[in-house]
Amino acid sequence: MTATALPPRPVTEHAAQLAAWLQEHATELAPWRHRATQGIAAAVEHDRGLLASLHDAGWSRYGWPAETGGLGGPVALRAVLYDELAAADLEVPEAFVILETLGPLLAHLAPHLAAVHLPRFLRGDELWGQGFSEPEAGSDLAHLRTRAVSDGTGFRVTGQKVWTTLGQFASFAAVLARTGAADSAHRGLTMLWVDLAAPGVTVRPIAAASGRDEFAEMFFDDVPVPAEGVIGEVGGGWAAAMYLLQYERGMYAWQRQAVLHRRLRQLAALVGDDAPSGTDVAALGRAQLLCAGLRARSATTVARLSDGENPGPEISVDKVLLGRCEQAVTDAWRRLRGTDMLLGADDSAITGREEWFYSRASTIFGGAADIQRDILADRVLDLPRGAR
Amino acid sequence: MSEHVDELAALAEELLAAGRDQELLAQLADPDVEDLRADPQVAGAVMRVHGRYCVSSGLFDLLVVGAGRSVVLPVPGQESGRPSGAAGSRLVGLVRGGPQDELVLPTEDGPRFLPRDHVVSEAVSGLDPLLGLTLVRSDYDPVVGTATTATGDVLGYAARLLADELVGVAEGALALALEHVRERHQFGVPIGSFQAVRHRLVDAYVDAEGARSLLAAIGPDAAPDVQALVLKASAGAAALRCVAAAQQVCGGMGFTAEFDLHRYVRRALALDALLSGSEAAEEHLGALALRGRVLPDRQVVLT
Repeated sequence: MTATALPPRPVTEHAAQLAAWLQEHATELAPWRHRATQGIAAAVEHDRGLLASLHDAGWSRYGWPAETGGLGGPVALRAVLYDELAAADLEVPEAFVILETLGPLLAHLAPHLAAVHLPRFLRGDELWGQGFSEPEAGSDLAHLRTRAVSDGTGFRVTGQKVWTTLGQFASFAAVLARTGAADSAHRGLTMLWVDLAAPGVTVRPIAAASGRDEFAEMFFDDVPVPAEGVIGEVGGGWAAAMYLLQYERGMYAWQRQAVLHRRLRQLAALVGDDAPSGTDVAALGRAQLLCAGLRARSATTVARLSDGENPGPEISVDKVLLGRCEQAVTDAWRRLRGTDMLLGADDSAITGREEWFYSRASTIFGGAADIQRDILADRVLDLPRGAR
Repeated sequence: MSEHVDELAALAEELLAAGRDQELLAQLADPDVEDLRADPQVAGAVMRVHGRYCVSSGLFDLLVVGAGRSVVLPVPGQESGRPSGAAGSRLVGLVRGGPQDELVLPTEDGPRFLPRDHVVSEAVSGLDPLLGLTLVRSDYDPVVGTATTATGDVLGYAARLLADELVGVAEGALALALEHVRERHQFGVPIGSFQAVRHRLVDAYVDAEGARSLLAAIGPDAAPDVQALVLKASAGAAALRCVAAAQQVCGGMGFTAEFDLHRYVRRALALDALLSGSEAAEEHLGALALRGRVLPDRQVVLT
């Protein structure tokens, strides 16, 4: 289904072109209307087909710079892709979450790495992992312990990372490591691009409560990283992480609202008008209202990102709204499909339960909702700071 | 038009801060500014400031249906008394402030009109005496006329402007609470430094942000049920959340007549109840979705 990529157009026109293409190819794309349910490895493999199609037709390359294998145009064109995929009743591949976390980081701070790896990722040939959290450094990320010691030409990395999404399938990882003194907090960190095939690396999936093992832990034992593996500057790891967060929070929230709006449409169609109770119906309406607010808010954030503006601490509003939406949508499903939640054994019920668990984690990963509230209290509402 | 929006919002801010609400009303009632006040962005911005200062005047009627007219709203909880506009139906409705010369009844078939001398009016004190609600009754049949608002849909537009006002109420209550928790000390520190207080206010602020974003993203041309069930419900829920958070963190002060918070509490509850309360709207929205109309879905578009 390879098509000639069209030159980038204004955002709304681009969206219409993409929607038309998705409709035209609906039959070939039908396998991606549901995610593969035979385990997460099958799902990752399955998604590669969709990634390859979107790459070959050019759609996933818009919004990325030409130097890194993209077709240029504003960042908003990436947002259009995620939105139109969900609107065309397709599953948005999880790889796009990782792409939006690490892609902007590489393109902005390590174009030499982006030139090599971004095209591979977009083709579906390579996945990356995010190595930030550690067993002893979650919300308190600045006190991470993984060390990177200079070996004359590059670095040697030793330590442990955890909660790496799809880490067991990743070829490379962006690892935040301490290059400064042990007490250097956020000042002594460096972001490194680590080859997960290098000697000394062990990656293990974590058995998840949801039954879907989407996280892994990574162990590094004196792992070599060449000098060109530094993303940004030595000692500039915190700045790199803060740069990445605007996309991890902003564009991720946009992706998820696209998915959640699709879930609402699916749920409404599945339940139909079979007279459920008023409170259960209200739970659906509540989820619709919350998702509407998120979409409106997130659209302005995407526009700001697209204009090259960093929304700063206000992006935490999007993150808090998103957590509420994730939970409201899955709670509406739980209420309206209570039998599925409790007893269901088919793919739809299993996916529904997995998503319910995922929604509970959405107020924890990528910066806990409570931390987002502290950021907003300190830096947006200008409240007096207190003990954490 | 955007420079006019800022200009008018600044004027409203200046006059309402000084308690000169009648002067604002008079300025906006000037026939020379008719086009300006009919602009939904201008009207929305003015209503938001109006909400923030928690005042009441004839502004709502002026902006929704124009000078010399009042819009008749359904009485919450009295579905049977809804002004249907059908011949022979007995009218019971609410207007904000005293009825003007002509009353406009929004019906599903478009607006209907009644002269003031065809209605019996009774001022209502109730929950929010400063809101100045008047109960109107009539046994006359309203007549067909022409719509005067830019949208041509009175009820949807009324809901939209109530949403703007409710966002203002949310902001006003939040501002009071933020000021209080910065100043009020307990245990030797400002209470705004306690995480429980901070998080409560942040949650309320996030609600207000969601409602504000929706109003900015969905225009007055969206369907009337989107205006009422999405924009107004979202703003109503945000206002209720903000006044509840403010009531908690302001402690005893919030329960004195001297402290302005009770005005915001009354206003949020009263405005939320008009044209379908936010809780009822949730159920209504869900029911519509189950019948195949999922609102507002993707009405907000990227630009």
